[in-house]
Amino acid sequence: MFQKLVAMMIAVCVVVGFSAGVSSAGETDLLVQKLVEKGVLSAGEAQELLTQTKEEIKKQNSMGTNELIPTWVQNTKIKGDVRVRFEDIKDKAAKDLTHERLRVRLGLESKINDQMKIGIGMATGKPSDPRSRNISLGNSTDSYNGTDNYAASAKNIQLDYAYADYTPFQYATITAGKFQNPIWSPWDMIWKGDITPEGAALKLNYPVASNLQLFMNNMAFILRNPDSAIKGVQNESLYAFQPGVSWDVTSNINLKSALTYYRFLNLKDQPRIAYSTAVANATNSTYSGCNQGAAASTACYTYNYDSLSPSAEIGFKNPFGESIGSVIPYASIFGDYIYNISHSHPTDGRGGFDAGVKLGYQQVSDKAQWQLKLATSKLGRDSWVDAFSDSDRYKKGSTNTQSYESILEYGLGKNTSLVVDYYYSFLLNKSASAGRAPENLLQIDWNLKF
Amino acid sequence: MKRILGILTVLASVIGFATVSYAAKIVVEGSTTVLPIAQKAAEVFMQTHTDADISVRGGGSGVGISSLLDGTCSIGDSSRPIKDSELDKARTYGKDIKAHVIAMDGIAVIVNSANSISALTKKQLKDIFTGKVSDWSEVGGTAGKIVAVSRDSSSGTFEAFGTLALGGQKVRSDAVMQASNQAVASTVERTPGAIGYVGLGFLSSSVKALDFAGITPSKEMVLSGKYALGRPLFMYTNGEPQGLVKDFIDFVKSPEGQKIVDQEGFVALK
Repeated sequence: MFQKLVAMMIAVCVVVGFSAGVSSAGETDLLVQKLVEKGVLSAGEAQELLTQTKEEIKKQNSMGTNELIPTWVQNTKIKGDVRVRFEDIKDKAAKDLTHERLRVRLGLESKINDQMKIGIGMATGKPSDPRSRNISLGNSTDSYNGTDNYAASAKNIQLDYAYADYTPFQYATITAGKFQNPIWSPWDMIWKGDITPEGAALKLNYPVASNLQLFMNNMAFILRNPDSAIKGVQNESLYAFQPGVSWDVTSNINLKSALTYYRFLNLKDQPRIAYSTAVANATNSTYSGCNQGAAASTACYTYNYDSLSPSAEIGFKNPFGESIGSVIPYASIFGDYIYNISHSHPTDGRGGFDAGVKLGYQQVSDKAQWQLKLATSKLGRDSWVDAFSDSDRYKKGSTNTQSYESILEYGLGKNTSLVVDYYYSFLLNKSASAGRAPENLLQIDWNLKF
Repeated sequence: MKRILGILTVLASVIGFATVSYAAKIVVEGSTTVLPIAQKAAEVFMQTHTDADISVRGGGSGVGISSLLDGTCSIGDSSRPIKDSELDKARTYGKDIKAHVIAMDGIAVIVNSANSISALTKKQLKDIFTGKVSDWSEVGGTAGKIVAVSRDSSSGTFEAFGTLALGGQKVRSDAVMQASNQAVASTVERTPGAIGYVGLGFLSSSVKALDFAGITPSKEMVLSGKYALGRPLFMYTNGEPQGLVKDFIDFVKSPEGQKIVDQEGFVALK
């Protein structure tokens, strides 16, 4: 009974300490120390009470039930990041291009109640390019109205995402709005990470055992809703279904694998998605004049892109044993494959793949941690929609290309890192004028996040 | 009517039996640091509670908390406080996670008895175990090669040392890895120039324990929270524990359970 009373007193002090600042929290420790000195509590009891009380307060803050802190503060989390980039692109056909770029993202997530939450995020970038949140420094087209042709112009900030999450029960989450891509992939060849799909998603997770989890990611992505009264213009959409498994084979080996089925509605014979690349001989197949409310010269998709895509990654902790484990604590082998099942043209490539390895730390989050990633990727001309693929691969994400990529990330401190990313990409089928037309792209990033 | 009553009776019996069986089964899962305490405590507890069937598994603190949230274990062992992301998940799942501090983990840094060094700062220890410093003269000792001795990476002590002393960085690649606290102490004892770390319960007069960051390692200093290489160990439950789960946690926190904590090389709360 007496211990409970003391625990309650400590709880009040800890709460006040959290609310009023570090000095009060220090005073709480002093109070506990006094109680120990006077023999009211043993050192162990004091430690137990203090630790358990702090845990309880943390839980109350998380649940939004701490009466001394405004509920909205307890229910809301803010996150963001800044990336400063130097980029150099070299190819034989065009002049060398050097950019200094900036990406800024700021978002919040707030709980509405125990089953619902919302997320809202803003980011730099251009509304016309969903695959990049970069702005180029000194570039007028990235300014707030796209016309200010002078240095230090104000830059665009747009809505990056805005979604509502509903978790009706433990194993299911329904998302609606504009959200992070729910489809898992170990590499970004198929889906550029900056794309935030619009529509709805359903994520299911079921733990069969403590080391085995089944999941199913599903997405209904509204690709284009033209708001047009012209007959023949269709709404375009993509449905994706991804069953998968995550299995801790041993305490040191994890296997994650999934198979994705993509089903497009009304993409074929519609105008190509405006933000896709338009590099000759490195695009999806198109023809002019599909007459879907567009100008006669508008390029329209020749094929549909219904696809099957298996993905897998197997990760190893301490892959080279204890002694080398301190240098290389983690390694993984990964790969994706994609195959367009909706056309059978003999030369317009239907398949694509990526394969690679990761070495170093599983995640770089602190000083001197590092990770090296090496991968190759190949996308047939009509294996996948060139509007979604990694836009750094070859002239803003072209298909009919192959790439070799190496990424070295080094932790400069807590939550900040330096990344060097190098691509060597070229055309699979030679163009008459430029042959393989290889492109070298170098990016040096300084990442800072909170 | 009789038939329906009969079926209901059978169903009630089956459900009743299943409930009784389920109540007697306790799955404890999680931290490899807490594992030896949980295993030994379960063994002793089951001797006096013959209706209890306690299964103890490792897997790591994250696995323990995740299993607790998924409902696949009754007690989640953890050598770290629960994370905000895990609390968020708990809230989403409608779980009211309750923390129980069952012991403290304290790590002592030891050197060979002949070593002239008697104290190290946080930076010096980190530099030694991450490989930046390789000679004792660089940290104020007599010139000579430093031989770092570490627990193997599957040990909870290794994990704790990496977090508390090295700030998440990895132990130097030429460290001698040992499978037990006793093996670390023995290696340090017979190797001039050796430095290692062991649980406080494994200190002996055959090696020299160093002051760390100005504090002499002792159970009192760990319990006071002043010693930097100390941390609380937890058992988490979903809500206030009931029945045998409560009895088991009460047992671990009892003088008898705390004796096990002490015997396993950790710092007892009582």
